[in-house]
Amino acid sequence: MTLGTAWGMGRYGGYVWTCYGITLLALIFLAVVVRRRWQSELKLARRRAGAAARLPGEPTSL
Amino acid sequence: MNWVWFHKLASPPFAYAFARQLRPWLFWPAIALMVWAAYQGLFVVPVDYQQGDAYRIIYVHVPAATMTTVIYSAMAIAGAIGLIWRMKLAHAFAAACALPGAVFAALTLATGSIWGRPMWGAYWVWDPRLTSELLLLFLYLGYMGLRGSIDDIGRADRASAVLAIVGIVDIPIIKYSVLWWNSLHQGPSLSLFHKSAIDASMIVPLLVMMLAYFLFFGAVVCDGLCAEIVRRERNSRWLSELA
Repeated sequence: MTLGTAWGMGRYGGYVWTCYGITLLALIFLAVVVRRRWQSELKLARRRAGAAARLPGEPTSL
Repeated sequence: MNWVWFHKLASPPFAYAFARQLRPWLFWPAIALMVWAAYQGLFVVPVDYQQGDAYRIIYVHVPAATMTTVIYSAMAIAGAIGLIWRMKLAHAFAAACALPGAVFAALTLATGSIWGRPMWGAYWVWDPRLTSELLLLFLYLGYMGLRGSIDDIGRADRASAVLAIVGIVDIPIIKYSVLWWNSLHQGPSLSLFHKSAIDASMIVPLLVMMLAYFLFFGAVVCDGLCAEIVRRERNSRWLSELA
């Protein structure tokens, strides 16, 4: 199979490659969004844990 | 049989550590299998005698469609377990399933529409299979919307679990719509109990892609479950120590 025939896919190249492209983007989006949500929840928990551990009157970092 | 490991899964610290450790073991094999199956589907398997190369879309469309119904069923079962046995982790698991389910449903509709244009001459028809799949996408979005609109986690869990359980009626409709009604969508090509309608040379990459989607979903759910556990356990000692 040459590059031209692989790209053309008969006369369905536009449809086939669009579907594979959309799939790739959707899976990357899913993996990144869920991972980021976990990280932001952890960051929030760290902030709360830090605030709880701080002694009353202890200066907060600005 | 020793079921201690199973009961331990109900413990948030154990489930958190388990999901964290399991994730890479699901994610990287999923990527490897996806690349192999996509290569096979695009360049190796023979051209279909009726649909030409357009049929290669099935390698991304069919696994996504399968995932939508499997994920929703898992979500509804987890919701029922959460309601009956008041198991918070079951609700957390259901919540973690919603976004992947919605993305797979949107992907199913998008790739199906693109395949439909050269095959049926239209991107969209109000066919029973397409309409019931669109309804499933709305159920996923409704589930996420309902959960997001209620501040109290306990109430959000119960309300969204009821929605998930009620919505499960759509799953057999999706599955059997092509048999019950005069549908433009083709009938089932894969069957556990009957001979497959797809040639053996074409079916292996499809099954491998399905396995890859399952593993990928598992990896994403591990991340989602960790996020949910952190959100629910913000005030607990074990998380403060971990954080």
